[in-house]
Amino acid sequence: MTTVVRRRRTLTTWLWDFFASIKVAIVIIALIAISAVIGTILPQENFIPSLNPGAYYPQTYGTFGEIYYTLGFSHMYTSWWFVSLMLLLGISLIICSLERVVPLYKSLQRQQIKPALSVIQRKEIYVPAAGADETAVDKLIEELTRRKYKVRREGTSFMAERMRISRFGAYILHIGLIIIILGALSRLIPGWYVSKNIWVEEGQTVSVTGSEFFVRNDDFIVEFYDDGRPKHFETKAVIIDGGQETVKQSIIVNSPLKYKGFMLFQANYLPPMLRTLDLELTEKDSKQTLGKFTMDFSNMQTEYKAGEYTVRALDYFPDFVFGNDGPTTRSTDPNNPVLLIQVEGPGIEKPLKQWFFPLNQMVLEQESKYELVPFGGRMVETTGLRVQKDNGIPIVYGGSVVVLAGLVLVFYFQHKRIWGQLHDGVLHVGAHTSKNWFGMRKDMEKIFQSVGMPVEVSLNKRGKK
Amino acid sequence: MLVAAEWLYGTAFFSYLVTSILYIAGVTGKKIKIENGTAASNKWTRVGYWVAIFAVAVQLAGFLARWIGGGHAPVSNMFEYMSFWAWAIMLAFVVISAFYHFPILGAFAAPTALAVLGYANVFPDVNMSLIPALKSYWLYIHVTTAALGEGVLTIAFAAALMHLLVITEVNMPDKRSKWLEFVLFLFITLIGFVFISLMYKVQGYHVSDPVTGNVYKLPPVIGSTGTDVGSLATLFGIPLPLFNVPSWMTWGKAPIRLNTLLLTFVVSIILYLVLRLLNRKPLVRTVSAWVKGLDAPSLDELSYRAIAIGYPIFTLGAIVFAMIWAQEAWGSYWSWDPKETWALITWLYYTLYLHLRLQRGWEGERASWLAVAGFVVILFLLVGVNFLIVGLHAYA
Repeated sequence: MTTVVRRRRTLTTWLWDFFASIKVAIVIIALIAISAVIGTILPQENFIPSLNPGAYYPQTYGTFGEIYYTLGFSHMYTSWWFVSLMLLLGISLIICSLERVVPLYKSLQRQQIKPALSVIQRKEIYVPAAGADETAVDKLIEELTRRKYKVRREGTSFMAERMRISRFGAYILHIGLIIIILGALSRLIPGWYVSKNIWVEEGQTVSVTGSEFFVRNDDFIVEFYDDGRPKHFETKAVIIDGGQETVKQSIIVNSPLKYKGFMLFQANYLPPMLRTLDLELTEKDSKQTLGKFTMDFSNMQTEYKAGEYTVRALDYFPDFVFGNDGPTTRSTDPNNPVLLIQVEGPGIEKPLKQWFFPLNQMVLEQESKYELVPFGGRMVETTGLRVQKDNGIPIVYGGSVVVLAGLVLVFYFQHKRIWGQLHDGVLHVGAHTSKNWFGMRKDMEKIFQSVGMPVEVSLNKRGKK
Repeated sequence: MLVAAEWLYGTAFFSYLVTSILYIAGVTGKKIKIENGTAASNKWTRVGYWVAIFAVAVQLAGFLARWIGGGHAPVSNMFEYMSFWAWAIMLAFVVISAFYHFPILGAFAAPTALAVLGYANVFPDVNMSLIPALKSYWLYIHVTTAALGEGVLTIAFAAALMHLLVITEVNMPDKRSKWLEFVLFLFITLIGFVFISLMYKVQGYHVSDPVTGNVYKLPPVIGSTGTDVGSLATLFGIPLPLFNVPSWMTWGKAPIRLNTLLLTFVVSIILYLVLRLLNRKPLVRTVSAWVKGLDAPSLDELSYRAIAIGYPIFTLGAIVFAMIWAQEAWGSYWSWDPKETWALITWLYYTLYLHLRLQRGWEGERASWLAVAGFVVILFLLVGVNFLIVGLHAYA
């Protein structure tokens, strides 16, 4: 029994020591950087113009592409080992910080106000001011307090300190990084993260993925520069929540619509597409109109009534192209609709099949006496909106603020300490700083100047620049 | 306004050149006295410093004129961005020189800024109206802050290079001096690239390949698979291309890029050999003579200080502001776009530098090599990614 407990303890301590090591942390950071580099050699799967990466990589990049795909480098940043490295980094951040911050805190709490005189004399900055008395100590303390030092006093000895917190800057920075990692991981909480592209035709109302409200596209505007580059995309959107129009706003790039934690971004669009066509059935020779009807391409019928006549749609190719095996369609969008129709009605004994090309007026000799003539219709544009909900964003931003605060504390501030002791009319003053010795020296000279004891401050040999 | 801007940018370019020449003349002349490890300034470097300040002011005026004339801050294409980075290097040099008295730093920082500004001019300097994704004030904030951080980090590179030149025994033909010579060669490569690109750009040279539709702006020595050898152009009477790339390398603009790389190397090697012959000894010996006697620990400290100042600015501009802008424009603060990923890689690189230096005691030589290599990482982030990898930042 006892052996088991001891073994477990050993494993835990081993793991703790492993993650507390800076060497290990450095190796983890380096591995993340190297993996990230590899991931940028070829485009990642979410950036390729194909839904079948297994075929795309070998086709586009040859053998290298195939190896790249097989090794899983084409989805590097979601691969289990990249995510694992990130988690290891998180653990290392926490344990490395704890391992160092606690002793640092304790040692700063336990500082002696009155260390041995020899300790002060060995400080990098050391000034023995002769001819001093207790009032000099008072004045110096007053001056230091005025300069925002925290002074603790014990008789004729004192210790003054400034910006102790800058010593904790690195750990504050690490806490910020952990917050950012948590913010990114919060996407895994059900309901916290939604990311989906939706298509909304002009006039259409579409449910916003993951929410209980709807979005309607009143109008979509796209403008181009003369050289063909896009200039402006805009969707005039209306939010419909509980049957009410709650928000009316234009969504443009860089200015999303925000509603109830959701954001709708202008992400994409489809060029104008044929929606309805108003048609006239006429007799070719007499040019006489026999009837009128409207064809809705989002809701195709097999027959249309035109006055006393019936137009039967026998076959429909929304995106007509003449393939190897005859007419076929490229897609289900009515980009180039073509119909095979026949007209039935009074006086037609044997209906003839005929082609109908609404968009390009193909001159095709057809036996039929009738033809369909478009006289109106409607084109619609479709906007592509990106629905995004990410409750982790404030966490990530908050973490970034903490990181920046930590960076400023580490690199732009310094922890300054000054000790003073009066011995036999000599005021021994020593100073220490975490960086910028030059500035500390100038500070000391100014402090002595202000209390009327001008001295020249130089650095001991051990002091750095 | 745009004409004024062009004129001001031109003046700035000329001032960079003058600054570089003055500083190099200052350090090669025998008049600089080095006492106790610090160099006194001489007439040349003092004038050089004032010209550097003038260059910064003039380019700032050009920047503002272009902003007013173009209707948006000029940081949205490669010409504008690279010019701004050059400006940031110059600004960082002027500011840091005010605090640390190292006049010799100018002999390294100014030519670097000049090379970057030259590189900027390889790109078309037309003022383009913005595509929708770029219409955001976060663009200005993100790009300018990131460039300032990169400018300060470039100064860290210059100081680290000086440090290495001081501590390396260059008269010994050992590995270290060979590597330093290689660093100088890389710098010549940058100049070589700028040189041939500008030479052909001035002529308006372009050859299009009828098979792939690729347009070459340099003589097409390498063609795509399927192009007839010798069918595109001639160079000194030799029909081009000389050979074609294998079919697996024909995707996208790969043949053009390979062609550019090849020509750059050929020109750089010629340039290097000419300099080497004129100099009659390895270049590193000449350059190290400029810095001989300087206090090595001070240079090491200066390089570290520059990273300590630049790293937080880089974090703010290239990571945090970039995330905020990505969130506004693309709907996600992080999408692992290649540029974004390389900003993170650069950040991780300097994170490693700081941990190795502060926690593992990598000071002096090893830290300086890291800082010198850091410049290559930044160059790849700013140039290599656009040249070799395409992504959401393709317009930049």
